Amino acid sequence: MTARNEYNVCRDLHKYLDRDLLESARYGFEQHLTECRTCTAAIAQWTTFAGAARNDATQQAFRSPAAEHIAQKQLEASFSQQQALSPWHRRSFAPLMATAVVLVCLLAGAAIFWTRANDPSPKQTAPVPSTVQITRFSMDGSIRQTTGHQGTPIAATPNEQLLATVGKDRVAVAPKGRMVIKRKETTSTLLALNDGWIACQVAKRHGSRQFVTRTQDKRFTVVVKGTRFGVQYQGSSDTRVDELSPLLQVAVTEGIGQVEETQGRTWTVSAAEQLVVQPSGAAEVMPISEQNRTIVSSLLNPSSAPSALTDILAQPNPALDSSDKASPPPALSRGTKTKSSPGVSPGIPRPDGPDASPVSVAEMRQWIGAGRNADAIAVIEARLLKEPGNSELWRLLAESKRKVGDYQGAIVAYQQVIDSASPQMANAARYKMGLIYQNQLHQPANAITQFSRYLADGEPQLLRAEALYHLGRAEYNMGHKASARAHLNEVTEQHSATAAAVQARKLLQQMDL
Amino acid sequence: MTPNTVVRSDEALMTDIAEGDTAALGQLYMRHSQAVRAMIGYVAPAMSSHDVDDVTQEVFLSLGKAAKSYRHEALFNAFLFRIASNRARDWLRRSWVRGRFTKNDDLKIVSTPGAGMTAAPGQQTMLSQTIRQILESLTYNHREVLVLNIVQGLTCDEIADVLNIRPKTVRTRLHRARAAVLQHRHAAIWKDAISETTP
Ligand SMILES: [Zn+2]
Repeated sequence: MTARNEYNVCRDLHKYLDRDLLESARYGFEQHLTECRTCTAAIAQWTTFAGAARNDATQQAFRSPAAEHIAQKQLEASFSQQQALSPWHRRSFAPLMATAVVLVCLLAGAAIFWTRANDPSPKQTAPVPSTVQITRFSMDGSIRQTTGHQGTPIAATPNEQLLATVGKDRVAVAPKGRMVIKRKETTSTLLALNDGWIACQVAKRHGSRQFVTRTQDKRFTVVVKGTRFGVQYQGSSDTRVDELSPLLQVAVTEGIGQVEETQGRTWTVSAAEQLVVQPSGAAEVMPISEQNRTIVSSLLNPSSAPSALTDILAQPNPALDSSDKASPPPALSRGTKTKSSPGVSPGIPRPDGPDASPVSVAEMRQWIGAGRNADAIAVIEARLLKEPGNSELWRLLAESKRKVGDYQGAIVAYQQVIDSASPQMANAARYKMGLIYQNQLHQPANAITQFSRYLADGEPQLLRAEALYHLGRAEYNMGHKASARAHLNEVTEQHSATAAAVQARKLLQQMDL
Repeated sequence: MTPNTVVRSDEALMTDIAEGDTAALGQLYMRHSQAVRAMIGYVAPAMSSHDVDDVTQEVFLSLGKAAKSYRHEALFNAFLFRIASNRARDWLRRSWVRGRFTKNDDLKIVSTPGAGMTAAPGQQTMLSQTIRQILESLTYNHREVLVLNIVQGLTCDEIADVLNIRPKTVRTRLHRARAAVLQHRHAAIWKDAISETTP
């Protein structure tokens, strides 16, 4: 080959790597590769870099299943909120009745200051009564009357919702909600909500009288006049707070609400609208979500359908949030879930079916064997939140993800197996990863990495012949003909009686054509 | 979630989204979020992992909004990565406005050591630092094409489709990027890696 020729052929290097060469030119270039060290080195260098970069990018982009689940729910919530902005949705929200209603959700020990402010009339400064009449609506249909007091906590169990009467005003507390009503000063009532959801219905205000709700950190103040509205506020302090959920929501069903932030921003929220403030500070006024509207009416009309409310609260609620405050009633909240599991994402998918008791690993295997992969994935991911180092769970997750066609997810899970399992189990995972790269993701460079590592491992290689064959095939796909040939020959010579050898011979013949 | 869940194709899920199915968007997110993050994190190595997550959310929100205009003859991946590319560029412009970056004609990032996806949970190896340094030495346009090629495995024609530029332009950029990688002063690390693995 002349120097001029060689120069020209070397110029095809990029085309070769781009897979832009026609079959004949490709063959010619591969012949050239057997002679040209420069091109061979460049290709090897390039494929090594590309493979390493791809692996690195994938690894850096990995998020825990829990974080992904939260992000997914947040995305769905944001999306349905945006959809609610469409004119089609706007039409579907009819104006509601009068009287002022406050719907509040506070998480994690935050509190609400509920005041009557700007009241010019001295006789309106009379303190609210010190006793509070409470009606408890149980999920089993029973209704009880109890009495609470200012300054003492009023809490709802997971099985009930409360309706408290404070003077002319009414405060509804959702299941698991907890609050304290106490006198703050003569002109105001302080309502401290420790946990959960409440909705407040306040008697109509006159003249300049206002109804003021303030978040515990005093960052947000909601001022309303003759308005029916709801507020959701998410405290910002501890680990249980879902940082992706909206920080504050004010939903107005009638009248107008004014929301003020200490940093100077103000928003006007009109009937059938809601304000959503994200943890980032981004804020938007949009049409009220149907779920918020339903929660208001369910809380204030508890007899209508007590269990319906918990169903709504149990849903990943776009407008409200997806904290475990909104967890469903006892059937699913027994055990250690909810408060004692920091970082556990709210709506961890549970399998359908009457039995929500913990699923054993053996059962998970059975499910996967029976094709119930989606169920298995949900249960395994939930379990992994508690046992992130359980390599068998990661392995089962990888298997089930592979079976549902989530190959990238399977790769991630196998990587976890490799990082956490026994050497032998880790090496088996490398083999499986290699197969996915090879057959499903069509990333031969990554397949080469995995099969090479599998073969380099000191553990007994039950699938050595197969791995050699797959490695050779991946190398062939990458254009590494020489090493492909070497590995395929090793299969045919040293594992001649295997099915892999038959395959390897076929491929070698193909290469010779 | 039923035992007999039929796996819907990406395209079918796009139809579901266009018809108002929010959960379908969630499914697409679970399928492709990692790939999108991998792309964004590499295209903009100076992004914090938090920013990468934010931009990824933006990408999928845009995807949901665009579902109605999605044509089924279009390759879903190209559609998704086009959005990702646009959102990543938006982010870079915003960052530039915030003064975190200097900008030449090519939106080249002035590398900020220790930033980028280095904050991600994965451990930052020497190898991955080197990859990052090499990527950061490229112009934005070159890096973008390179990432779509090696991380997402797209061909030149597919990349042209994603970025809405001529295939010839893609090839030019890719070849320059490749040459730059191979000539990078850290490229020796690959030679070492090769000499260890090749007999
Ligand atoms: Zn050459």
